[in-house]
Amino acid sequence: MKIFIYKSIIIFFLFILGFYLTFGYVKRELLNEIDQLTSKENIEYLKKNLKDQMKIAINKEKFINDEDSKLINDFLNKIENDLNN
Amino acid sequence: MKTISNRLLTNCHYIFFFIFFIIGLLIYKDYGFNIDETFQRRSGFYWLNYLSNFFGLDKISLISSQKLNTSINFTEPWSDAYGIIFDVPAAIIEIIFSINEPLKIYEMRHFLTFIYFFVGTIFFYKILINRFDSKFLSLFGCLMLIITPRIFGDSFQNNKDIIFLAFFIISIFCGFKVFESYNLKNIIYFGVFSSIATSTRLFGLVFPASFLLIYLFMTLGNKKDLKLFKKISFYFLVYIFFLILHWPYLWSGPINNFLNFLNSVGNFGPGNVLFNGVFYNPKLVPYSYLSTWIVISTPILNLLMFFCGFLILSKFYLNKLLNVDVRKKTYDFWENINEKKDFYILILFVILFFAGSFFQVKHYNSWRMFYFLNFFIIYFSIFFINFSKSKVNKKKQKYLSLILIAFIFLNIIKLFQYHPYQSIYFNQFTSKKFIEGFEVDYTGLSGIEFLRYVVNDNSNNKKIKIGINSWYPLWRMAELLPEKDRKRLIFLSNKNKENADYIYSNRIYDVNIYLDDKYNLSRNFEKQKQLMIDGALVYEIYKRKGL
Repeated sequence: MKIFIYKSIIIFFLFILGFYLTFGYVKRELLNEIDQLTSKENIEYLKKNLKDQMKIAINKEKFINDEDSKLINDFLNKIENDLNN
Repeated sequence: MKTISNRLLTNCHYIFFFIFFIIGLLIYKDYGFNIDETFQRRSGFYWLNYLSNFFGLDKISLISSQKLNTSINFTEPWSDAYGIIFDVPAAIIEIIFSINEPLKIYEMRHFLTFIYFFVGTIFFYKILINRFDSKFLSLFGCLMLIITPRIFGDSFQNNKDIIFLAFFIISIFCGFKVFESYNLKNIIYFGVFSSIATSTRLFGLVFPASFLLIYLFMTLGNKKDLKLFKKISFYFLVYIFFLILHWPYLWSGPINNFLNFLNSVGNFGPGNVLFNGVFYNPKLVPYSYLSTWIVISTPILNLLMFFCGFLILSKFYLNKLLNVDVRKKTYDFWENINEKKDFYILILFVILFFAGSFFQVKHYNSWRMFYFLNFFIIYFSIFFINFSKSKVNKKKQKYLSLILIAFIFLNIIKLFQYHPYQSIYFNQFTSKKFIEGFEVDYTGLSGIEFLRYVVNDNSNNKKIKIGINSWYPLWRMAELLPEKDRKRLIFLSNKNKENADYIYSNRIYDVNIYLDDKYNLSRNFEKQKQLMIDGALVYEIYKRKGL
């Protein structure tokens, strides 16, 4: 009985330790990534970056090249046609 | 002559503690002010007011209510859930001695913090002499604890973690006494002090848990110990009874309030912590957080001896575990009381270190919440010295002593070098660049030094506009200046800091500064001064150009 209890305690401790060093570690890393990505500062940073890029685009003489503008135009026309039919 | 030296040797512990007390008395006013202090002072008056109303002490109730209203302006949500073992006595002293000047109030609190620590070190001495039966070793252990720079610095201003350290030590001493004799007196003392430790910091819960675990090991080794069950139960009764009795927060609903407190613990403290150059949510720091902080901010001597002591002790008990099926006359893990005490200390350390590293404990800046682990660091160190004494010859012992003395002197030199900022100590493993990735003056000890500097730098009576370029309520420190100086200071919000004459920063931030420009400074300011100690930047002052 005594040996069984000691073994149980050791196995329980090793299991907890193993769990934290494997799943626990990965879980914390993931939570950390999510926390960093969804943090207010990160969202503000992305918003600011987006605005800056928009400003750059506005100031450019030509933002979309001819080939891309034709492609986008055709694509939008196609969607419009499909929606109307 | 011989009689005098004999007498000196007999009384050397009194001399040691007397000198330590005098040093504390001489320097306690040197220290800066910890941002938590106002928070804790309010807690003291809140509960004193509650208690005086409860017991119908009208005069005290009136005074405490007035004092309570002077403690406002918190950037963090204030909580009434803290234990009262330091705060209420501090509030009572403030009233009894009519201390009304803010500077004197905080100096009194610093001295009181030192007194608690002083008592803690006496009990640390008692623990070591109880275990190792050597006056020299015990005093050496006390010296190691006292001159651990972060502990030394905090023992004059950290009225939470140092108080817990003191009660943690006293509880362990009482635990040792219980192991020697399971009589009612020892059990009551252990129950009382472990409950006080719990109300100071929830880590105190480790005492009933580990006590139960040790009892389990006892009964597994010797069935006769089952008859101690009543006494063990009595300990739990005393523990719970006294926990409720001395913690008024629990009075209105012990279980619910305790659970509420457990759930709300994560609401306090900083929004993020800087660790190794990366900003983290304090609940999601890497597993290496606690061990890294211990390795970089503990004196190398303590670290080396701790590792050796810990390894020897772990190996010893691992052998016992492997031979647990061998029939013994005594217990499975210990053959005498000293081995039982060592086993208890090892179990406590493993549980606490494991919890601190792997559980989602919200770490406040640095590892200050875990400063009580210094107890284990020194205990294992002294164990190692004691162990080496019996294993090495006299010649080697001499070399070992010389090395120890050299390291002790090095630590003492560091205390002088850092004074009064020992709380920000980093050891020789770290470089200036590496330290930049960690928080340094996170409790804002340098705030008052900055204000005094600014006032002296402008000896005319003009108003001085002050901006704060870090997450730090500097305005709280203004009340510590003489009134004429205080009136000259105008504190600007972060948004208006560009209009300031001087800008202060201790580089503690509530946002990730790599993503947020909240703490960017325009080119209108130039760095006028900075305080750098041993590669660690404590604070910096910027002055508006052309001022």
